[in-house]
Amino acid sequence: MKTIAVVGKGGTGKTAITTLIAKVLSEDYNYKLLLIDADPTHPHLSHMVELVPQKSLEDVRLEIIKESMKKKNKLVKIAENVDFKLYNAIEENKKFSLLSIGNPETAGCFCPANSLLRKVIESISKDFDIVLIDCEAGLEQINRRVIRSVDVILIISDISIRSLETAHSIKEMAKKFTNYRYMGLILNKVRGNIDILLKRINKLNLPLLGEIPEDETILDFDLKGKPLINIPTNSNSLSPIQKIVVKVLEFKD
Amino acid sequence: MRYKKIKEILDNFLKRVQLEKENVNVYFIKESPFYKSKWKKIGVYLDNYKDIVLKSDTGLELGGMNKTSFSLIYPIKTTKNTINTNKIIIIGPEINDLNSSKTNFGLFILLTVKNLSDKLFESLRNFSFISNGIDGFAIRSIPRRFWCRISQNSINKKFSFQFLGNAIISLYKQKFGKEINSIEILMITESSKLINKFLEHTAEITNELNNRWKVKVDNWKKRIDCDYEWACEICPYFKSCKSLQEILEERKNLEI
Repeated sequence: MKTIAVVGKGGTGKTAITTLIAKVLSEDYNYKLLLIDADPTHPHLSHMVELVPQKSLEDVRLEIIKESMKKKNKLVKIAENVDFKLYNAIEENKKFSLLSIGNPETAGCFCPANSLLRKVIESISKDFDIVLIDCEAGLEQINRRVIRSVDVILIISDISIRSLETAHSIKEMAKKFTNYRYMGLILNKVRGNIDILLKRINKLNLPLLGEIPEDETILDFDLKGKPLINIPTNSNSLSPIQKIVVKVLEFKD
Repeated sequence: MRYKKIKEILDNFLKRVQLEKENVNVYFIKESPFYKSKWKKIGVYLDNYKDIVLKSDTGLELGGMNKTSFSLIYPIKTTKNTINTNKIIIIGPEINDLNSSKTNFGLFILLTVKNLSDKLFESLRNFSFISNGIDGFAIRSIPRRFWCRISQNSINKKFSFQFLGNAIISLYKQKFGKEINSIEILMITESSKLINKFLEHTAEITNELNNRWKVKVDNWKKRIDCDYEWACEICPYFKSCKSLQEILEERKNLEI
């Protein structure tokens, strides 16, 4: 099983890239794929891939806390049902499954609940070949809430220096908070001469996995609110994504 | 635990069940390729059937949240002299005799192997290759309990418990080849009473597995993150946290 996290500064196109990677993985390969929509503030992945779950991880978390406080059921029964509850929160179609983190509505420290859910996600992940996570900006949630070990981190940057600086910070954070084994940069919305940027990337010591050109079709899909998963296969951005996917899959556990 | 002892426990259970005049069918399996068998319409091949069985395509669900279920895989090393035969035992009705599209289900797999390393032990107990190897069949990994979906399409092609047993044996042989001496599969269908009886009767086997992984479970205790560095007396969430920790402990004990 391979866990891939897609991270980057807000607005760089993390969710769009995650969707395109999901499209390539599900249409060109025979993998069992679990998508995790892990952006609590902008949970758009589910809409982009046209698979909206009825329940989120947050809903499951609150249910468990409620049950444990009420003590209606025996502890062993609650513990047994955590896996079932989480599986029921996963939405499926023929191509992939999707779990949404949801938006935390209550404040407070529920570390054991998070720990329990992380353990169950790790257990459930065994049923999949690839787990692809669309993260919020920053990596803390990967370490603390969703999944402890990430195999591959894909940092998305657009062609601004600030976005690249964020990529550098993320790289440093990832070293501290995750046990990743492979990391690469994807430049998104590329247009014009980017030589200055490429020189900067060289200094970052971060392999550039590919450049995704600014794509009129994506803009059109965004404008009309159409699910990006249905983008035509001849769209400009898909060919570089296919090459990136090959590179990511070549990386062996 | 020794092979002889496990066999004794299983045989005793079987005798008891037969005395109570339960429906028991025993099949001794000759290894022949699936494409020659009577189930040749249902594909059985390693990593070839990863399709998700959607709820709407499901013909039968075994186990699951509100059903009684268990799954136990017990790999054990045996000597050359041990007589080993591949066998399927089905206690309870076959698929076409079931009254509901959701049923209680228990699955016990006894694997005898030539050599047993920790790595092989773990691989043998991982179900996912079975799930990915049978057309229209998908298992969801739930510790110790069981939950799977069988597609209506496969049911129409005469998917049966006898077929499932044969398919599991075939997939184990495909994946692990000559490392395996024999496979014995016991399925309990429909009756939650019989499933609970089996679990009671085989508690010794379960305890053996529990002890084997106790070290792993103990290590797990160290992995709960805490923002208050376990200074529980100053934590405003102490009450709920303590309660959840108890659930966490129960969950860990299940993961055997």
